[in-house]
Amino acid sequence: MTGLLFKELRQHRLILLAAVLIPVFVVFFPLLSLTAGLNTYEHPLIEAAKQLSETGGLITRLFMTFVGMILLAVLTSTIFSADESKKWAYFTASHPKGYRGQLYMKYAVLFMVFGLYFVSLYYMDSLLQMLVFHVTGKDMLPFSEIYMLLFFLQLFLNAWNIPFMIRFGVKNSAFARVIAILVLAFLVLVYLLFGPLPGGMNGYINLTFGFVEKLMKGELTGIISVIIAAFPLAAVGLYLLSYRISCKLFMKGAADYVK
Amino acid sequence: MSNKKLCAKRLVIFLLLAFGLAWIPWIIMNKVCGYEEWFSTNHYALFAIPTLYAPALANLLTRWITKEGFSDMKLHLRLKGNLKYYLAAWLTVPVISVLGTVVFNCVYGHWDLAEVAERLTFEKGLAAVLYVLGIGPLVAFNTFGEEFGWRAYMNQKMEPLLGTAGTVIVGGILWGIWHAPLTVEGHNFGKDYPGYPYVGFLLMMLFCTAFGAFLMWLTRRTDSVYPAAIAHAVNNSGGGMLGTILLLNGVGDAETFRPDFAGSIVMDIPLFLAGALALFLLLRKNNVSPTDSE
Repeated sequence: MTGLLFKELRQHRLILLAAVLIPVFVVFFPLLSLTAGLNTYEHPLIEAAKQLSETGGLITRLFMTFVGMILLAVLTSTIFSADESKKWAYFTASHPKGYRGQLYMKYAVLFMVFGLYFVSLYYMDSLLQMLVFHVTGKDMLPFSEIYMLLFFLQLFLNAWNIPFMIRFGVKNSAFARVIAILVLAFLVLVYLLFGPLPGGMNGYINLTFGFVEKLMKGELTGIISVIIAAFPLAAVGLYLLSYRISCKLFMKGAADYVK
Repeated sequence: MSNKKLCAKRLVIFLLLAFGLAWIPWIIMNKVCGYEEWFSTNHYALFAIPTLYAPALANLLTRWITKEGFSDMKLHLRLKGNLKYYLAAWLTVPVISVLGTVVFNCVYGHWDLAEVAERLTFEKGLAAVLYVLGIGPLVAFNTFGEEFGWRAYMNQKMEPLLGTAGTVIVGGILWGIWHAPLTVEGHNFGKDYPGYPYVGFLLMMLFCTAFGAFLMWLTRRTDSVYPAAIAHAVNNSGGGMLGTILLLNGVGDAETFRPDFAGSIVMDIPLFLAGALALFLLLRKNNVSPTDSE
């Protein structure tokens, strides 16, 4: 098993490195982006740091968090596509640990990537908070709760996605994913155009940011708090279940791989 | 140099580094910035975060300085056959915490259980339990720094010198003393108690000895540092206070509630029993870790 782990780590060392470095970009880019077009007496970075602790900064940080998540999703898909060939799949099946061992290590490395990404985000955010405090004297809302949820969200999404990648190949599953996202986007658009919004678009935005703020401060109550609290356990459970399903589907998928 | 002398030399270097790398920045930051400012906020994160990893850094530096090499670091997960220990690491602390609160209430009757039952909604109770169990293991990256030093290195070097029981007791006392710059600032028990801060030091040493025995047992059985890091993380992220949080519905005096010295001892009775059980299991003759027997 150590050999398989070493193979995965060596093969995906750049992804592991990216998981540590992307958060630097994700966390500090909002600070740099907010300096654009600023024309003030103060240094643009000081003004940008001030804006970071306001609503505009919050939106930019949320947007960049989303961008980071997309970047990581694109990178991690190569963990599975790298070994997607018929020859390799049959060789893997003949290995003493079999394809189960290979899949186990792929799941473990993916988990490691998400873990590294989370830890890096967590510490970078702490450093940004320190910087903003010393420049402006104001406290910025910490994103640690959001990053924690993001970690489990990535596990949750991959738990669904990986069995499809194993059975139908990375390309086909990506195609299916794009269709699913388009359908979802279409439904959201229809709702935003015709559905009942709480007090118009502004009310909707206020409601969303109110929710995000409560989430970050840990002030959610009622059934929502139970769902949010149960989500990490559900995501980990699904991830483990996903491994079992992938093991069952591997050989069927391998038969469809190109040579 | 004999094996024992070499162990003693490495142990002394490790302790000097583990204490020095943590205490020097802590004491400076306590004096310059104030404990609340540097510890409870992220205003000095750049200086505060590395101190969490002081024992881990001490482990690596000692191995490097004494040319010991980097084998037997206990960094393998060793999940196979050890899932029950991982489960124990995950669930024991919250269970002990709830039991501790029950014992405390039986002795002191601090909380009116009828009032608690009225206030404790199923949703809030369930959310608290799920949150602690879900998030606890994730923050193990914060406690890994300590466990990689104390359990994965100090215990290994101390056991040939002091034996298993001696390692649990002396190791626990040293671990408790290591927290002293934080305890003196009220991190563990506040400042408003008779005999401050010496009683706090004593209580911390007792707590660390009992909890350390459990963590040592986990590390020994799995030959991996991760179960101990998980148990420590669950304790730090609310698991150690789950009983109080549950009883008080996450509000009321849950955050400010500080039992006195005798109350703390009573509340920790289940932990002391768990520590004693762990020590008993460690001392059993057939206590060989799965990897040792291979």
